[in-house]
Amino acid sequence: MTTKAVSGMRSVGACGGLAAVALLAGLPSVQADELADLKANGQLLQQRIDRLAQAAAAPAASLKGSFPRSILIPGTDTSLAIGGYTNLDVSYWLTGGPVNGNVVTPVAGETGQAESTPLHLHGQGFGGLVFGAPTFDPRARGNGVFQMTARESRLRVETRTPTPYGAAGTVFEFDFLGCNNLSCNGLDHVSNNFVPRLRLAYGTLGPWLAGQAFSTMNDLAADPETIDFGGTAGQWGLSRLPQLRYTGKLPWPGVSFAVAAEAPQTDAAMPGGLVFSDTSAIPAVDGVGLPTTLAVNPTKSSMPDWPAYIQIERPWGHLQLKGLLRELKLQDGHLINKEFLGFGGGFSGNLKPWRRWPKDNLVFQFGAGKGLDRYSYGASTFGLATNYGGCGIYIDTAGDCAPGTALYGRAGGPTTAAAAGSIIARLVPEWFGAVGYTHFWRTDIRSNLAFGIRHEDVPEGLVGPVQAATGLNKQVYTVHANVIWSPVAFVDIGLEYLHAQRETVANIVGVEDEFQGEFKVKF
Amino acid sequence: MMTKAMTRTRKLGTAATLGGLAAAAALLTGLPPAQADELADLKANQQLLQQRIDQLAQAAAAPAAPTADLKGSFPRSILIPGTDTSLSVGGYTNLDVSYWITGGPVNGNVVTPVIGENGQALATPLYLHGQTFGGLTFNAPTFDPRARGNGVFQMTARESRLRVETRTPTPYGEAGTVFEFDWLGCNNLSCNGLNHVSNNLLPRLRLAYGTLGPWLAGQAFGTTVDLAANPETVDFGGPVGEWGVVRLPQLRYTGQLPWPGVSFAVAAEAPQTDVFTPAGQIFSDTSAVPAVDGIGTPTALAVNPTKSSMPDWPAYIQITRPWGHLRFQGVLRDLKIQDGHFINKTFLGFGGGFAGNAKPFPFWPKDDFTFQFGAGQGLGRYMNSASDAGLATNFGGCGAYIDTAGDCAAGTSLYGRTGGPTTAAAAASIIVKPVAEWFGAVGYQHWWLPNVRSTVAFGIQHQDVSEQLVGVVQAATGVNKQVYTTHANVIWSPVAFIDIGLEYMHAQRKTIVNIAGTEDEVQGEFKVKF
Repeated sequence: MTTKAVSGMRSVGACGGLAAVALLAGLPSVQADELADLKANGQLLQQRIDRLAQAAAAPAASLKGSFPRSILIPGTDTSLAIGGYTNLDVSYWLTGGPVNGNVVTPVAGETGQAESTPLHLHGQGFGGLVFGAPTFDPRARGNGVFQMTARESRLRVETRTPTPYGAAGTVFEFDFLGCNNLSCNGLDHVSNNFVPRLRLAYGTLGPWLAGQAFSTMNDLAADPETIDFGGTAGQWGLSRLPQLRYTGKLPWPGVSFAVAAEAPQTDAAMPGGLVFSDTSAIPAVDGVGLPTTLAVNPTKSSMPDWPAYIQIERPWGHLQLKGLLRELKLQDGHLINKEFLGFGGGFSGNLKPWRRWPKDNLVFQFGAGKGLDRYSYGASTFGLATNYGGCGIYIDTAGDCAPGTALYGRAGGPTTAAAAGSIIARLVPEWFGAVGYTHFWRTDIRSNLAFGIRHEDVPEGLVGPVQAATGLNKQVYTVHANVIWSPVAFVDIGLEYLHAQRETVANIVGVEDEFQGEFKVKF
Repeated sequence: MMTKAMTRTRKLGTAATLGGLAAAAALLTGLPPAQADELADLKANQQLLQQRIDQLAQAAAAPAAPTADLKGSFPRSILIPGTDTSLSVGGYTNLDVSYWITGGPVNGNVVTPVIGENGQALATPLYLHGQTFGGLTFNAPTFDPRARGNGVFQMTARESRLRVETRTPTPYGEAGTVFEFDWLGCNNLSCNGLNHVSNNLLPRLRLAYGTLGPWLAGQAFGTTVDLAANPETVDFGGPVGEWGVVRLPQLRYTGQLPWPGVSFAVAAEAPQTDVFTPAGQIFSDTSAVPAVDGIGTPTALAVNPTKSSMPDWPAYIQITRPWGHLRFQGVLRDLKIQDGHFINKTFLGFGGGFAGNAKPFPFWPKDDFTFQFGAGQGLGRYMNSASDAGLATNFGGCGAYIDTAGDCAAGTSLYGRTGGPTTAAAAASIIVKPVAEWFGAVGYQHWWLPNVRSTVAFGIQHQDVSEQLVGVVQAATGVNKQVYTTHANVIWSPVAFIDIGLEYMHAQRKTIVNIAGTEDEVQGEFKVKF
């Protein structure tokens, strides 16, 4: 821009002068007023040529957008970019792999296979029941599983426009990781017909952000870089949700803050499984929908969640202090009506620790709270635990009740006030954290090492022995180590090792070991 | 590059102008009286300056040029300002109209425009009329879909397609990315009852791959798919007997061999173990949960025993000549049955064949003959078809069937059936065998006028599946032994980017026991590309 504007001005000056010279050359004798005329004329001409030169110099510059790789939409102030990346992800499980069903790759860690890797069941007794391995044992088949997919590939459309209220922007982003059992079965046979899922759809106007965006509690600059799309356990989440957010500056240099109202969800661990306020009331299909053992879904959301952070930015990195309040409600339309205040907080940040390795980076984050649940990134987290819809006595590992012992809330169970009096709900305490370190071996080769852990204390007496033994994770940890080569700036070729372990409430464990490779081309 | 070059030219011009100006201005202001040689100098100067101003004016008079500046490196692309990346957004819209004379899909998803391969041809209603087989009698259902398959009309824009592509030069060769979508991916869950209000189709991913020099990574057309050897049909499904797997995740290397016009490619492709069982066809990526709308492991099976442990390995060698091209190709694949209990079997699927095209007549230079053929054992999905599998097994079957729904006589359930025996002795009676198959397709395209063309195409696929393994019910009404299709069309392109076409299609499928279903259909299209 600058160069071109300057060169344009130079040309103009030159032309103005030139015009004068042209006139000059035409005159046999030079006189004073003629010179004055000529000068005036010259100025006029200069202005014309100014416009001419601008028109000549401008075009190339004029379609260059206001942010990298964007194009200015002709006739507007709006810059538009279409970008994203294509990604081939390759996974090989040594243990604990997903043999059948959807292509899980590349979500092997958190929110992926690590949360549901087959358990080592070998006749453990718990709550009066014995948990033996299934006849056709998924754990015995979880070794040597190979998968390949392009599901992580991503498409993004972004615009930015200056306004009197500050910059306005829009972002749309899609990938193909959203399929459930219904849309991703048997896809490999002919043409891998994945359905896109919405990642981001938000607009901004000055300090305001409205739409589906990364949660205010997410600190992307504090998340370790892993090839595994799922990443480490123990990160601040939840990833993306609808919200209205205000971001502002505080009077100290480099200190900013944000507050937001985020789309709520009441999530409860029950004897019938995990239930959310947006779980459909229709019977379960492929694990989606309300467990048939429940008479009703008693969860409800009445107001948004309230996250906030303060961030300090310094040349060595940044530090973010954050906290959250959320309302959790159980109201079944009959006798149960309970409200809870979930709360929690923590920190996250990054640090460039070595002057001699200026690109090396240490990232860290930690959080703790009660009823925080989905704000610790993970598919198997929950804010409340309750015995709603459970059994007084369990007779088998499928979770069936001994006759006459069904609790209030169970399909076909008692519905009296006395029965409702025995229903207890509690906030679940949890803590989580993740650390990662990036080292650049060369400008184009880097490695990451990351560790993450998440812990929840679920009262086994509420959710029952079946959920405690085989359903709910008490603790999940992941370890990732990788090396990534970027032959050109926009291509990543990498290989990673993942080790993960989950432990249910009854300390039954499942272990996962996996290699993952990627070939990513950004645009 | 072009932008840069032009900018440089302009700057040079500017610099020269500036020089001239400085000289002129200095002369002018410095000299109160004008003199003859000075005038001559000025004239000379003026000429120089005029030349410069000409250049400037040219640049100015060409607001056309700047647009050219943003012209990308490949057709219909835009250079993203400030980068070396060219971007294009393209695709086509398509209205597809189908009318079935026989064998149409009366209810359920809108099948149009996938009539042939992977469409209605593979599932067209069978002619059941009391044939007996394996002790069972197969009668037409009371409410017979075959009796309703005539006079079915459908219309859809599902084939419409959107594409985003980029290309960028790098020291390792050209890098590129391709994204492509259409709306043909819906299943019964997302496509039922759509026509009632607003046809809310979901996009499906077709292509998502990146390239860097000779490497390709991502979801792309299968390495053994030869698009230039596929006949052009209005029917999106096209003839049976073409090479697959159509689109799948892969890592591919493409290179040149030392002979002119001879190239090769090798790839590692996303695997899938596909098997015919007595309860139906299942894949390693079929979910373990019960069947919903035919998707998922059939409830008759105790477990989905299929597994994939390594990629499939396709490769080809291609000879390109002025008259067309010829390609030889083959695939190796690992197929595994492991149920986590007693069964653990591994098979090597293999197969090969050729594909190509030829322009046979010098006097009709645009006429084109296409052909392909393949055969193998355990080749399964590498024959483009939704109704094939690499293996056949009696896992989860019956010793004796009591009805055409596939129920077992009491006490005859085999190992692998829900509630069936799980002993080692029972497991020993389970047999798994690779399926032998062959397939081929030919097509001929003739150009009546530069904007009117016709194609006739024939395709056939055949697989030998043991009836004893998959059981009488699958053999009679489930598994296709042979399918053929015939297409004939005429397509008019009033402008280069519009296709208006009409096609006739005849197809027949035959199950293992030779029960046949026939389909006859007329299909039209109105396609606008961009």
